[in-house]
Amino acid sequence: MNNLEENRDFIERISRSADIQEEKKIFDSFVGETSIWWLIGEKLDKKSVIVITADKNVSLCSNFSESRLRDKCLNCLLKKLRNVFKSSRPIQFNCNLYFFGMAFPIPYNGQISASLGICHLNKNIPSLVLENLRIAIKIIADKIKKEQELSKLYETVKPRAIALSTVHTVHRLIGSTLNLEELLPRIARLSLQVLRGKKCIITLVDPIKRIILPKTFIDIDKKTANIKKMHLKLTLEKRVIRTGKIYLDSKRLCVPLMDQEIIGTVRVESKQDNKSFTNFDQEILTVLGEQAVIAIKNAQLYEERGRMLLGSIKSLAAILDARLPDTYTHPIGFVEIVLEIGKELKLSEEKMESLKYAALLLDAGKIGIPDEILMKPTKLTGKEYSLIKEHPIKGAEIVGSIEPLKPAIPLIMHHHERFDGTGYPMKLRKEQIPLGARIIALADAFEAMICKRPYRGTMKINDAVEEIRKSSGTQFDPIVVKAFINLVRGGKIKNIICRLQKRLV
Amino acid sequence: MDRISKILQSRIKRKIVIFFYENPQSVDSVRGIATWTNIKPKLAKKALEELAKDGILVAHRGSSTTGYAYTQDKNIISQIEAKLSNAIT
Repeated sequence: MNNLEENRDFIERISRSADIQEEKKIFDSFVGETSIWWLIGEKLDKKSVIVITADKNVSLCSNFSESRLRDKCLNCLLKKLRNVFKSSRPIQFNCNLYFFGMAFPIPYNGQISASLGICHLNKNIPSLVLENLRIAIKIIADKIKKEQELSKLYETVKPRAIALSTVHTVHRLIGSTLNLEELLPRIARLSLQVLRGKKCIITLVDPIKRIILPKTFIDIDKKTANIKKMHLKLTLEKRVIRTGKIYLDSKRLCVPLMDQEIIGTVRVESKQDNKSFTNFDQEILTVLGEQAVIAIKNAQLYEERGRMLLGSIKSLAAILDARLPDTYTHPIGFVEIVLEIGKELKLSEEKMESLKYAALLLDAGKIGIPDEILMKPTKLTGKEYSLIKEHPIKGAEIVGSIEPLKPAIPLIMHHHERFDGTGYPMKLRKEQIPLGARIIALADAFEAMICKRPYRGTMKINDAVEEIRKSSGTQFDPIVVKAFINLVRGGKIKNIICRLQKRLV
Repeated sequence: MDRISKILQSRIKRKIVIFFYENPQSVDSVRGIATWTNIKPKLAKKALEELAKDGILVAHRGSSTTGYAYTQDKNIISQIEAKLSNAIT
């Protein structure tokens, strides 16, 4: 806003001010007349004059609506107000219509940039009233100037505050996932959103092979894009990674993702409004890139930790397997069935992970049971069966010392509970049994039916499925049974079953 | 009456749409938008969800927050622009 605009805004604010309206009412009631108040800015022409009325229903003066009279009054007043601008002091005057009037200077930014005229009075106003009015108007002008300054400050700060709030929200959004496959498209979408771009590509540098891998590509004009089928040249990315410098031209903006070294790039292309990318866009994408690096590193570390944990679990399973094959662990197809049921039931990522770990170490507790009992081809005695029934508790104890496996403990502990409460070790029933344990219980029974055991042969798949269906609501949770049957019908686990049988029958 | 005009009849939705029309680069939470538009957060949340459902806003959902942003659909943007540009100026 330039000085002239500021001045105009100041005058308009005064004219709209409730204080000045109130002051006019007080003045009119004091003098017992209906005065006309005028405001004029420094341009001093008729167009810049504002008429203030306390009540719109009250006529400014009986014949004022007649344009000739209004014009006459304005001409007269402008002359008087010019004198105020010259002298910077209030003046009283008589007009051509034999009315009394007065004019006050209104200081603004150390200058007299506006003037208030009051006319159509039938008598002269005592100097004491004039002085009080001058002080009141000065106070109102000061207050409005402060309001104007505050408003100016707000207008300056607001866009920055909105931008800061955006950065904060984006930070929270990209920091709320540790799944890299979810994170990278999210960063791309948010980059496009904030920069109003049309295309975004994110690349990551493979630290071992030292190659640039395109990871995410989003084009808002196309619903889906398979990055694996795209032949991207990545010339710009290579340049940014080589130089470590941001690339900015009218159509493209590419920033390096910098940690201790460059881990990748984010490129945004083509603004939606066809305007050019600016330095402000560059700053925004740089900040977004800094946040993205932290989120990407966290997700990579989390994935690495997951891989290490899974590796340790597999090692533990292999050690157990080496002692007595297929006794302490289940074949890999079993884990796949468990995970398919979990997916069908739309379990969260965390729950799926616990389910996987529990499925891998389900029978680790059998390590404390003598081999002759585990391998016994005939019916177990009561004492032997009691020993078998302890394995879920022992299994839970074994994995209990590994912190990341703690969510899997209840699943291992309760995978032999039955939905009707007749299972072991704690005779839990229905929803008292963790959902993961209910899933494992079904998959465990199904696997036992279709795979050979020391004490019996195998069952046909259809018969095993029928057996499970019959036990819905007694041994198994009906919800889990339904999910399992859906999977069987959909053929999703047919291949898994075939692999299981080939290996075990 | 067309779909956009119907949506803009709601005072709250209109305020939110004007905010995004004037700040198309913004991505903000319910609380942030409620602050900028001077709307109660509870009312803002309902309106934001409905606007997202109508395709005027995009809801970026994270586990701890949802960030609402202006649509990137050219048709919707031009329709809103036509409705609002005259009204605002």
